Formats: sequence, structure tokens, C-alpha cells
Amino acid sequence: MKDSSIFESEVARLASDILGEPIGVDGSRDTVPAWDSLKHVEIIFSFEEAYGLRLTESEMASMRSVKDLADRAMKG
Amino acid sequence: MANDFKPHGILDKVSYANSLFMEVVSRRELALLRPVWACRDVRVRPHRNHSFEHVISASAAWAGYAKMSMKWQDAPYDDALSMNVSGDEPDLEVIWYDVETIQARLGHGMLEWLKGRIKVLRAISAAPVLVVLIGLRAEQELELVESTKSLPGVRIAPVCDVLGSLRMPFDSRLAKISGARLSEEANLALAKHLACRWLPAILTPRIKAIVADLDQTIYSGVLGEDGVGVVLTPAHASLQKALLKLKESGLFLAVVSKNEPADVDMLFANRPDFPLRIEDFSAIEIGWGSKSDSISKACRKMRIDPSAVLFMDDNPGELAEVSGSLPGIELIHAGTDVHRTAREIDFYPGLWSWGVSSDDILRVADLGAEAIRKRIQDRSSGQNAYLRELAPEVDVWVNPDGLIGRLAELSQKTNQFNLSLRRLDEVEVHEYVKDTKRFAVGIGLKDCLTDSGIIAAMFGRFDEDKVIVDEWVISCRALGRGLESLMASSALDAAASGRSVALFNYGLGPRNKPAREWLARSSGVALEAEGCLQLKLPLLSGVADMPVRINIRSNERQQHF
Repeated sequence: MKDSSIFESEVARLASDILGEPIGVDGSRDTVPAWDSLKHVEIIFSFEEAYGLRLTESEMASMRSVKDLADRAMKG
Repeated sequence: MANDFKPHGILDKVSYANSLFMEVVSRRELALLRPVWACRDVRVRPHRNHSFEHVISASAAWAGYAKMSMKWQDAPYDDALSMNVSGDEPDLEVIWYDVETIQARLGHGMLEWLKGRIKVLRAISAAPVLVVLIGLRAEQELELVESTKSLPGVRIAPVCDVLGSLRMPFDSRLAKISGARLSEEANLALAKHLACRWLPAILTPRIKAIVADLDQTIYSGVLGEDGVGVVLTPAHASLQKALLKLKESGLFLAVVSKNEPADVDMLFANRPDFPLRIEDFSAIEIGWGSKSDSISKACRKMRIDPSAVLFMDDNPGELAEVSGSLPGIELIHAGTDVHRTAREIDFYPGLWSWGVSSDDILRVADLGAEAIRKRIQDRSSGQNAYLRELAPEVDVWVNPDGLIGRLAELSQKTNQFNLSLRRLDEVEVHEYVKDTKRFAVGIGLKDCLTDSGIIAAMFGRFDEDKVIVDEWVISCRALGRGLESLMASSALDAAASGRSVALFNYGLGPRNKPAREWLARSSGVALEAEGCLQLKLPLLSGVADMPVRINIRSNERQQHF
């Protein structure tokens, strides 16, 4: 089973690809200006596609960082 | 749609297309694609009531494939579609509107309201207008298409077709979060249609012909080795059917192949399972010379320029050779994944059109009759004898509302007989039709062999006792019958009778030599690069005695002389 750091690296790469700029594993909506509400939805779309998951509306709103998403991916 | 793919860039394009036309392509894959070729900036002014950024961001990779870089202006959400515009005129206006709220508020009056808003935009902007409406029912969309047909340069996107083909067009989770209810599946589908179909069909001339290689391209196998036993896989059958469908929409099909002509004849004669028949090809060039030479010969037969051609071949080396020799030609690599090739053709920018006109359908048959016309010409004792046998009929339509789209198409697409290369769009043609100090003429041509449809257009204006011809175009498939002066004379007689002189504006383009030569012959004066030449009217005397029937079909408004 993958550990959390692998999930964090994967999600950081995914967010970087969508935002078009490098994002670290500690990246979040609060620290990355390009990660606005519209781009957040696109990151969620790509996250769902990559991990075969479907988030609830409240999850979509509450996930705010690479770490949040990596934790959700790990949970499955 | 000029091709900027240099020979060394063919592999770049092949690689880009391979990613873009996978069976499923994700937003992340799209985000990573960056065209390495030059793209034309297209300035778009949106009028919207919700966020469409998820569509726009996904469309960038598709637009890059179409050699466009979309520059979207900022626009606030505006349920009222106030059409408050400022700044420079864009290349395109886009109304992007979710009707859910307004439908609940206006009910049956919604369509009329939408039409009113589109009309307002049409009145204040000369740019083409694309209307993308989310949430209409199919019959409402159709009704709006019908009721806006009279508005020049306005196109209602077939959104219902796109969303109707999806598993889940809407995603209820998103309305609060992003202000749009389209699902990701819908975002990606709309992005692809927008960039590969709708925008190219508005902003660029349509491709006129698909030229295909044979071996490993429209079937599996090599004719020289496998003989007529080459394999038509289900995927190749689908590909051939797709090509056939494009032919039915008015595109020429042609074949160029390095093979023996007799082998190719035998192949098509012995393979009734092939959806494509030999007679479906308007030009066939089989031989061992370069593919670029063969394509050039095929283009001469089809009377089109190679820049209006999409060439498909399984060999990247051939694509590179063609690209190097014929700048401007469009290229598709027919790779081993035939389904992928079919998807690329399905969405190749410049193939889709907003509707198949009768002129599109007539084009292919008309070219087929050209060989017979040539035989008649060769055996005739002179021009009048030729015309007597051909029995041509010229229809002259003055200021025809119903032909605005076709006249704009002629102005936009005609390269060889295009005197001033004004490239008028529908809005500009509409102004010629409606302005009492100007005129637009469409000319239809038929003979004993075919109806060629509307094949020429003249745009002019009145200046005291003179008429100034701003543009005079004749489709290349109507050339060669010696009727150019008669058509010009008939157009001027019908639209500007009583004038004694006509001033013809002319310009210089890469391919408009035939038009320039006509004007030089008619005036007896050598042409500068651009200018204006005066011709006495009538252009031709004794027209009534020529074996050509001339019908003045329409004069829908009074001219103010």
C-alpha cells in the first residue's frame, strides 16, 4: 500500500499540471494565488478522474490543500 | 487556415494529435499540451450569465491544434444580457448563457427574449456571433435556429446534440461551488466542439478536399504485395464511411498513391465491400512520383489550391515531403490505430460546417461534368457553337436576402477569380444588400449538364453616374466556359442600369491571377499591384444575341440612383 507521502507527491503533481505552475506537497488554496475557486473545481475534476473517486458537494468545498486531497485519496 | 507545420515539425503534430485524439482524454492531459507551432490570436468577447472557465481552459489544447490562441475578454455575469460593450471590436462575440433561470421567469416568452438580445448584439457589433445556450430543449434550439436565420453572421451552436450524447451532462454538486451546472464530461465535450468545429467553421474557410493515400491508410495492407486481398478492417470500413459522409457534405475526395494504376482499378473493381467506390474520387493520381506532385495534379483537376486540402497518409516521411513542398496544406497521420485516425477526421478543424447548402452538394457533381464540357469545347468550331451545345443559363439575383451566406462564402473562399480580395463576411454582405447606395449580386449558372448553383458574386456602390465595383468573384469551377464578361455585364445591367462607366477595384494576392488577367484583358491596360480601373458600360454589346439565357431573378428593393 502506498504511504501518504506518495499520495501527496502525486496530488501535488496533479495540481501543478492543472495550475500550470509548480506546487509543493504543502501547497493549499491559502498559499497558492492561482488556486482560486474556479481552478479548485478543475483540480477536483482531475483528482476524481485520477483516483476514480466522486466527492460529495461538502467535500469539494472543504478540501483546501494537497494534503486534504492526498488524505482523501488514501482513504479511497 | 495556413499550415505552419514545417517538415521537421510533422512529428510534433503527430505526437500532439495522438494525445488529443485518444479515446478518452483528461483535463490534465489537455493542460499539458502546448502547441509548438504558430497560432493565430482570436479575440473573443463573451456575454454570459455563469462561469464557463472550465470549458475555456479545456478548449485551449484543442484550439492550439486548430492553430488558434483564444483571447477571452473578461466579462461579468449578466442575466439580462445587457450587451454593454466597450473597447476594440473582437474577432468573435460569444453569448454563453444558461437558460434555466430565465426559462422559469419568462416561460414561452423566453425564445423571443433571447432572439431580441441576439438582435441587439447583431446591431451593435460587426463581428460574427456564436450563441451557446445551455438548458434549451432540442425543439427550442431548432426554433431559435430558424428564427435567427435572417440575422447575418449569427450561429446557434447545436448544444442539445452535444449534451444529448453524454452520460451525465449536468452535475448538481457544482452549481454552488463554481456557478455552472455542466458536468466535467460536458465541459470537455463542449470544449472540443467549440475549438475544433464551431469556431473554425466561423473563422476560417472550410477545407475543400480530402486527399487520401491508399495502402495502410484506407485499408490494411499493401496493394503491390497483397493484391486485392488487402484487408478492410471494421475500423477502416468506418473510416471510409466517414470520408463518404464528408463527400456528401460537399467535400471533394481524391486519392494519391504510389502504386500501379491497373492494380488500383482492379482493387476497386474487385472489392464491393469497400464503402468507397472509385467514382467517389474527383481526382486519382497513381504513380511513383512524389506525393506533393501527385497532390498538385489532383488539385489542378479539382480546381482548388493545395492550401484547401487535407492530406492523410500512414507514412510520416510522405507527410514531411508534402508539407515541405506544399506550404499551407493540412495533414493527418493515418497511424496504426485507425479508430484514432477516424476521431481526428471527425474533429479536424475546418471540416465541419454549419450546414450543407445546395451549393456544397452541387460542387462535386459539377466538377464531374467538367470533363464532358472539355470534350464539347474541343469538338466545337468556336465559342458560340460551344455555348449553343452547352445551353448555359445565367440567373442574376440582385440584393438577395436569402443568398447572403452564400455570397459571403464566395467572397471568403474564392482565391483565383477574386478581383480585390476583400473577404467580405456575412455582416458586410448584409450591408451591401440593405444599403440603397450599394448593391450585391449573386449569379447562378446552369447548363445542359449540371446546375452549378450560385457561383459568382459582385459587390458595388453607386457614385453619381458611375458604379464602383468593390468586389467581383467567380468560383473557379465556373471558369473556363468563357462566360466571365457576360456574367459581369449581366450583373451590372441588372444592378446598375443606366450607368455609363464602372470602376473595378482590384488587388494582388498569391493566387488571383485569373481575375487580374480578366480585368487587364477587358480594359486593355496593364494592372498595378492594386488600384481601380474604369470600364465603359455595357461591358459587352450584343449579349442578347449570345446563345445564353439570362434570367433576372430578383430585385427585392428599389435602387436609389
